[in-house]
Amino acid sequence: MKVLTHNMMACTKKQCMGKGFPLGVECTESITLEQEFNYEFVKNIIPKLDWKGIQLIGEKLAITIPPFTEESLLDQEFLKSLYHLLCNVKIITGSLICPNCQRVYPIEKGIPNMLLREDEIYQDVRE
Amino acid sequence: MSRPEHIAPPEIFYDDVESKKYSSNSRIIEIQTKMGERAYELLAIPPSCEGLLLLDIGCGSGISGDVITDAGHEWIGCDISKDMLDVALDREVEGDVMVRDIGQGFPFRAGTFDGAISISAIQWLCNAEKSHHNPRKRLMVFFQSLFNVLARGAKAILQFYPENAAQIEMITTSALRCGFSGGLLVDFPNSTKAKKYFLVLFTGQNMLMPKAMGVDGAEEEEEEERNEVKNVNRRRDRRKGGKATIVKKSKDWIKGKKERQRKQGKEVKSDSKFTGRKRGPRF
Ligand SMILES: C[S@@+](CC[C@H](N)C(=O)[O-])C[C@H]1O[C@@H](n2cnc3c(N)ncnc32)[C@H](O)[C@@H]1O
Repeated sequence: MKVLTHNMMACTKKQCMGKGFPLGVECTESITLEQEFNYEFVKNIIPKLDWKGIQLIGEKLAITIPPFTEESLLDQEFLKSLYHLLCNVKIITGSLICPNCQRVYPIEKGIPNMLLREDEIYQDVRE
Repeated sequence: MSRPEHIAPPEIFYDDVESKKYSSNSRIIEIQTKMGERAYELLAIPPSCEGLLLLDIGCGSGISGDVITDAGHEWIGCDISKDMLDVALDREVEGDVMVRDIGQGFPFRAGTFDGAISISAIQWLCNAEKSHHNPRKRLMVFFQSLFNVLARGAKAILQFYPENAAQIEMITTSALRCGFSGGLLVDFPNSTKAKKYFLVLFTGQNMLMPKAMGVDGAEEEEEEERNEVKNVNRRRDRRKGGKATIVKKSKDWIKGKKERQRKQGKEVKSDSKFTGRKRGPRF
């Protein structure tokens, strides 16, 4: 699971709607990828980022990103380190924890398992 | 032909063996890639626009996702089969993947994705795999959640294999009831083999439906334009008395046949200077 994915994820069990992020992170193994810096991508993703999530996972992985300010958009170094964190840092083993319901989602072989059990599924949608 | 959906639930059907077989079959790769490219084309993202974040629904081993990577975007994929996702890792796809049953909706924040594609996956939602599964409800959860995780103005293009008209109706109405506009687009509607169903969904209003491929008329025009010069003679022949003047196995007969096959969406070798030439003696 890339840091990018973590930043976009949320626990969407019914009682967690709007409150299920940022997911807590436990990490026992991570790797570094080598995707090339993509300026367009960083520029597009910045307005969507949850900076609380960036801070939370950065602390867990001991990677610090300077706080985002308006000047950050013109700061190549900032954009590069942000891209690196989002797209090149990948958690291989660990878990995600919903800040609202405390549900734990395991991460194995780099793949988070977000499958819900039958009793966790909300099916009372309008039909 | 039996449908995988009738054989076993997706996470059982796409087990270790099947996932590897599926992902290394060159014919499958070719077909899935083509459909992925068509879906991407239908998203109508301007060529100058790169670096978006897209969602691949039922991403499997990442064959459809590779199309997104090639177009210069990031993607996140969801699939219910761990084995398929393991193959995606073996294939070293650039996208990021997670295990999720799309009938449970998507575990993302609102407005995350600039667009979504799905290739050959959502027909699975029409089946009840578990006793507590209700296909209609699962489709509603799926589309509501999809609408939610897309950025406003984003589109979703979902290619699927409906089993019958009732499934098309069930899928399309569910989507439209969840806030999407758009509808069904059928490429090559007159060909049993090449016919492909795409659900074209807009989160915005007043969007124009794209044009289907291989529909009589539209395709003909295109085809004619391309063969303008080559066809002058044939057209003249037709006026004089039609097909009768075209000798079987002649250059024109072959080209005509090829053209008909192309219209049906079949794969046909492009014409070359050797087309319809007399071959030398065989040794
Ligand atoms: C024919 S494969 C297509 C894979 C990929 N999109 C491609 O083009 O190669 C269909 C995929 O849909 C997935 N699928 C079926 N039902 C699903 C569900 N309810 N949730 C998530 N994925 C599902 C299957 O596991 C399988 O990987």
